[in-house]
Amino acid sequence: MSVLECVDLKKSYGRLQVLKGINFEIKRGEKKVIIGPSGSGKSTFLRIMGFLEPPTEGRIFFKGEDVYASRLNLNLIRSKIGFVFQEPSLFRHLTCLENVKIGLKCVLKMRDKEATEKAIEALKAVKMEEWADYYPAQLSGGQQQRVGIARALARDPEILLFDEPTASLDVELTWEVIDVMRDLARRGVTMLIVTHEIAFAKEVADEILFMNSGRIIESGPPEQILTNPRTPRVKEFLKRLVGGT
Amino acid sequence: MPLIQDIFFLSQGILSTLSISFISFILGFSLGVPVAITKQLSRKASTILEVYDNIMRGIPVLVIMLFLHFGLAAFIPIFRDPFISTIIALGLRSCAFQSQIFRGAMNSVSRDQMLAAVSLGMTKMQIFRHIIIPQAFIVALPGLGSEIALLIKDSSYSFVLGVLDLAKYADILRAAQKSFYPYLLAAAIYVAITLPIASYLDRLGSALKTKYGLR
Amino acid sequence: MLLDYIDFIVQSFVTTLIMTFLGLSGGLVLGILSALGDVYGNRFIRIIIGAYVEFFRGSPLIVQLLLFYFSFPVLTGIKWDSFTAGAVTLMLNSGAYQKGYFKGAIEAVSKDQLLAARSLGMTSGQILRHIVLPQAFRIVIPSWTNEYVSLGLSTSALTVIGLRELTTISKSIAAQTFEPLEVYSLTGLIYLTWISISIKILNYIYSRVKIPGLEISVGAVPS
Repeated sequence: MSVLECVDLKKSYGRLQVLKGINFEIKRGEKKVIIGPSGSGKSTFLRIMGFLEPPTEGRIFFKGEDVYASRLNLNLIRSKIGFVFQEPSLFRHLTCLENVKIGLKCVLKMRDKEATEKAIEALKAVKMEEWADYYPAQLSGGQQQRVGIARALARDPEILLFDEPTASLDVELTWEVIDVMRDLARRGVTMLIVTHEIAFAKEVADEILFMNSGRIIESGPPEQILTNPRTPRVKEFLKRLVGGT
Repeated sequence: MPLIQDIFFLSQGILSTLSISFISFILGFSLGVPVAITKQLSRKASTILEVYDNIMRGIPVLVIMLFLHFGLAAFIPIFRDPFISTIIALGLRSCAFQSQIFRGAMNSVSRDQMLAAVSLGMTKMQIFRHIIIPQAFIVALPGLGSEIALLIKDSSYSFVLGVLDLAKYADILRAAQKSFYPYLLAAAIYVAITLPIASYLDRLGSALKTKYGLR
Repeated sequence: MLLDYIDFIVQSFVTTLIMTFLGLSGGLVLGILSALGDVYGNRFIRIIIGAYVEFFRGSPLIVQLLLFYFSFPVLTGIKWDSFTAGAVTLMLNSGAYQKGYFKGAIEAVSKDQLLAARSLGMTSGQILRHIVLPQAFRIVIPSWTNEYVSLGLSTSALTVIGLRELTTISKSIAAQTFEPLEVYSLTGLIYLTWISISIKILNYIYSRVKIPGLEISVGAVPS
């Protein structure tokens, strides 16, 4: 069952065309990873698929429905999609628990008791339940990011989108977050991830897509892409990234 | 046209207003900068100066003017002149404000530069003179701009002491014409003076900050 | 000798406090509305707010007081007294300054939080209510303290429209007792005590409600 799909997706900012016609689909339970050089449009693509920005051209389908053509309520759809940003972007004036709860109460209109239960569950899933009453400023980057994942996860979204979640973390903190993501993958959460962590991609992804200059130039199962890519550009990128493996 | 005549009439007061503002600004500047530097260098002096700051910032400037012009005038004849009293009062308060502006500006100079200067063997005085103060001036520009604007506006308190400044001339005109328009005109003139000055210094500060990569 | 006048002093000080309170509250409402209008409104609204702010920030309070005191009866035919005229002018004046502080506080809420809130599906109204304003109200406290002090001290300008506040009364007393030094020193002391205590209280409030991790330098010079 298709969760997200786009057909001929194009995006321009003024005269700069960032996405040049992307066709993509992700089904329930699948885990797909997008890799590629910076400036290739990966983040823009993810933001558009998460309905944080509109496309310039093209159609996007959520659970089979053409979102923009049918003029569906964007906030409603956003509430069904979990987005994890590169920067944790937690709400500074709220504790971790409140950060996770606010999406539940405000948007899904849950009652306080139910929201608290779900929030604690989500915090447990990312192993942050002990820090529930702490403020973001009192946590490390990795801890904040995990709470960010909990906040996205708490609403049982149809899909989780990750935009380079570990890019702003140092090596040790990265592992905390990767562990959590691996856990989620094992549990069958549908995930679309933009990342540089090739080893993680290899382990978890059903399909890896390579994006360059606004297009997906190659896609396939990890073993194929990583060990035997067809496109020379991909070969070159992987060589530099992994150091000649 | 009556409007032009009114403007000419009011402009007699503009000279007073501007002189009061600029002289007090210079007074505040020449006292404020040394005060700011002294605060950085000496703990003891710092506490005494803090008390002075708090007094200047905790009392209406009008009260200070009245104190000087009606109080001290008996002992120090120079304060019998309301013009002088206004300038001294505004200048003393401006010293307190400007020392605050400069302190903030000096503190904004990044620590690594000072560390580098020390490693080169520079003395504290040299570091102040060559590294901190030049950069502090640039950072302080927007703050100084708003301080000048404040002085131009607060120079109107001299109205209470009878000084013939822009506000007083507007008052005279109002009494003569029995209409309130002179006040509107005077307000417009004040706005026309303060806004460009503050805005210019603000933009100059930003431009220089970008040019030298400060902050 | 001076003590004979205690009644007048206390009364006029209360007037000062009342005018400060009125000016600040009215200014608060105007300031917040103007800030919101400036950040979220369309071009027309922003031009109007801009003109309002430029006028009241660019001209002296004394001239504003005289202007409103004399123009209102002429324009509307309704007479008003120095108390009402003073209060309204102070509100308008303070509103213009508070707009700047609130706008700064609203914009200080980091944009990444706004994006995150959108990603959760929150509407603009919810984002304003739950994310932006709670933080803005705490961030604004140090600047607001400056406005409190500034307005409180500027009530002395009310003397030009004849309102019997502390400075006006002290002028009369000084003239009657021929002891200007003592009178004005006492007046200064009263203002100083009031302002110092107020600052301490506001700083205490700030320290209790401030957002952990977000440090704004207290005592910043308003611009």
